Amino acid sequence: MISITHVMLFSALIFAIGLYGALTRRNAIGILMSIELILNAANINLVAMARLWGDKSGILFAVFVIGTAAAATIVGLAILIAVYRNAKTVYADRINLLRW
Amino acid sequence: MIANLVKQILDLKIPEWFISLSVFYFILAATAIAALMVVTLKNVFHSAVALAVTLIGVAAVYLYLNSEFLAIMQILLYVGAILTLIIFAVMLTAKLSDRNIMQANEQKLASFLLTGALFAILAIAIVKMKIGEPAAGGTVALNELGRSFFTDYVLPFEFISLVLLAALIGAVALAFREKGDE
Amino acid sequence: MMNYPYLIPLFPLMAFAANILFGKKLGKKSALVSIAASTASAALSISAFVNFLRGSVASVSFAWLNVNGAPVMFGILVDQLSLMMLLVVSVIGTLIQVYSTGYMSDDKRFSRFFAYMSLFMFSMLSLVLSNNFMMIYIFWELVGVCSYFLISFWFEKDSAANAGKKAFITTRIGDVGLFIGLAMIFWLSGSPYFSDLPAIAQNPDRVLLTAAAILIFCGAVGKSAQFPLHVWLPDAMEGPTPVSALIHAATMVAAGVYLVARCYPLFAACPAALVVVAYIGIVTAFMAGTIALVVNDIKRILAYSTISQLGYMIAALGCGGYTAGTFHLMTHAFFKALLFLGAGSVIHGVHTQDIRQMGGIFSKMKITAATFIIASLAIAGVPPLAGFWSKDEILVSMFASGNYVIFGLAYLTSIFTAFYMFRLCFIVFFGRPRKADLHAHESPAVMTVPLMVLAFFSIFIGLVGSPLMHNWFGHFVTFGEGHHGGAPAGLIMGASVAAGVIGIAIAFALYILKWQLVPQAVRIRFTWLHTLLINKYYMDEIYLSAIIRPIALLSKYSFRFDKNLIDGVVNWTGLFSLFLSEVKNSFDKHVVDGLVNGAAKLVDLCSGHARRLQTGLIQNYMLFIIAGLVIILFVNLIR
Repeated sequence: MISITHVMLFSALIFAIGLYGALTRRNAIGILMSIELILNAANINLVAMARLWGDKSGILFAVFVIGTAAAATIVGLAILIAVYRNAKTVYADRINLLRW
Repeated sequence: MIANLVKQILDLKIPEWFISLSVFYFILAATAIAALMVVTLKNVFHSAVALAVTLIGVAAVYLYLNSEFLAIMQILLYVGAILTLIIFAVMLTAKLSDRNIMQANEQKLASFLLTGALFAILAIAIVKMKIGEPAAGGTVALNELGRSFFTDYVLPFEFISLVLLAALIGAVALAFREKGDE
Repeated sequence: MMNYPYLIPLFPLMAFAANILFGKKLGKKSALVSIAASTASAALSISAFVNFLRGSVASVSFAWLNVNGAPVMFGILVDQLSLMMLLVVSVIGTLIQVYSTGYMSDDKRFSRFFAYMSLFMFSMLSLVLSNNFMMIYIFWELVGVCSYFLISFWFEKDSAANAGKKAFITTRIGDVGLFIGLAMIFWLSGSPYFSDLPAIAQNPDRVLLTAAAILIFCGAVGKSAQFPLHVWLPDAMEGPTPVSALIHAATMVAAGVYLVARCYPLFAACPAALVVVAYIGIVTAFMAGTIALVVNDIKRILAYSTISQLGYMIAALGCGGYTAGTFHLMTHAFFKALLFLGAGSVIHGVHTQDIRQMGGIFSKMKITAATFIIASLAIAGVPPLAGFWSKDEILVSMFASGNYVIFGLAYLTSIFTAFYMFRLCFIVFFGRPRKADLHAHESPAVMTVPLMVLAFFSIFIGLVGSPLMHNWFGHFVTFGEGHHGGAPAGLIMGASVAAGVIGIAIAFALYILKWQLVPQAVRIRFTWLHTLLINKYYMDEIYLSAIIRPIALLSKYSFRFDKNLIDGVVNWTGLFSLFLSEVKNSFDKHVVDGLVNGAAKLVDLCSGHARRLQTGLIQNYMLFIIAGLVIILFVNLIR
């Protein structure tokens, strides 16, 4: 029998790693990947809770999260490609057209 | 002598749960390491590959949590679709040998300390919660999930399809290159 | 008869959706969509009213939000007060939209205008149907944002854009108070429903309760343009005239009065809060009434008149005249909408807003002039028009409350009201044209018919609260107040008529007979008063110098501190070193240079670190957000 506590600790770890990536990556694609990690951490938590209570809503919500993540990624990457075409960079800190 | 030892080891009855559990912890460790690689590797393409490993590891964790359906979804959607997109984006935005592909990390120390602190707090909170054993059985039948999608959760389900459609159209509109627009 | 009050706001919402999405395709038809929707709302309001009289109340509610296990139900509240508001809003709204089809016919954003109007109708109708604080707050903000859209509808004009911003920001100041007040009520009682207000008012913590009541009143002060937040309403006249009629005269600005009336159980339980309400109201009424005496812009006169009349209602509520205040709210909505539409018709005809350039257009715009004068008679309180009955009610309730200062000021204000309205009428419609090329012409029927309907209401609506109908309104919308004992009702009625007649007579003497009522010497001595009034008591200037300038200065100086002072230190040190180097030898120069570089380095170091706070890098900001999160979580953990 696996321990739900350990799964949740694992989820927290993935979340922290994803957050670290979102904070430090300069490449916009890297930031997007880090956000995927964060969303995955949330999903692990949802599924763990679903397992703990024997309730299906956690799994259902995880499916919705995956769907939303897909939408976010699609739009994010489309913006990225459009920006890259104009600014010739994917560095988040170089995309500063609206800054000051 | 050695043959004897081998025979002894082979004879040793390792209980099944022990194997299962050690595999589980191995997966956890491997996934965490892969996740670390995602955020630290210099080459974007390499971190995309590491992301694939992480996502598959997470799918395995789902299997351990008795949700086969979600594991399949994870593989299909994340690894199959989202990751492919990401790799496409990597290839579209830079040649693999380009210096753009390298990505430096900034404000590393502060971020590390903060996320470390956040993890510590979360871990303490989780341990303090003293979560009990999961309910017995606990497997949710696939047909039950399907029924839920079309009864109790039909509105969110429709919404998510709408969101995906909107994202699709939006992505096309954003990435569409108009004629003469260079 | 159908009884679906919850459908009332939905029609305008659908019209809004249709106009905003397909406005370009609909073109002129978008007006039809909006008018059809608000006609449907009006019909449903009437049927809800009839059903209410028969004793059947339809209500609907659904769970929206779970707070502490108790779901907050979104629902509608159909009672006397909300029915009155529903009828006023939907009927006047429909008429004004009909009028707008004529007034806005040449505008290039025709369908956008009707989309906003429909959105406003939806928000306003929902506001009056709300049954709890959260809902009313949401729609309260929605009507605010509609008002912003519509004031700055002609945003190409700087003045319109600025007026919109001013209105939005000024009312927001009051809304902050409202929000805190609502949160306090919720915190004290755990119930957001108006139906629980009598129970909430029993709360033993009087101080907190009074504070909550006054904070809620802040919201009304902002929305209903009461002193000291009244400055936005005159500027809001930059919007199209139908907007001024609907939003800034008849309905939205009355929402503050409605809120106070809605929370009346709470105010009734806090005498201190009522005193604040009464004095704010009467100060506003008097101040705005005096300003209206001297203003020359036709719409601004009406705007100040609106502020003054709203102050009247608020003061009436503060004096315990619940029926009087709400009754005046209703009658005022009709005749003030009529006044604004009439003014719009005049502006449409003569293309100017300055009354000094108008004159003698009675013969050219007969319908407009006649209806305008009816409305002026109504607001001046001439019997048996609508304003007479409601104003009389207010004066009686003020007298009955025993607060003779308020009564006196209100009485003076009512003389002023009659005077400035007829000053306007006499200058605009009679005498000789003051400008040669004034080609006045009557407006099309689509504009004059609403005027006539509103004139009909302005004459007869007051009768529902008159002794002729056994004070039916007073029994319908009431807050357990008995008949006003001790107030000589007959005497006050006579005095009230006298006030109107005096005001009209003075205006007649001054502007038709051209009598020099005031000797030249006295007039010169009181020039300062005129200057004070024409400058609106310098309220805008006070705000500008007391609030806006200091903030602008602060931001300018903090910018300069960086730019000049720090740079200045460096420069000054540099000059100093130059001076020294000329006098002293190269050894000295090296030392001083070292100092200079050191100073520069120090400054660079400091500013470099300070600059890090405003990097413009999202990830940097996010780092600080996470730091805040960690701190909050940590505090929660160790607690």
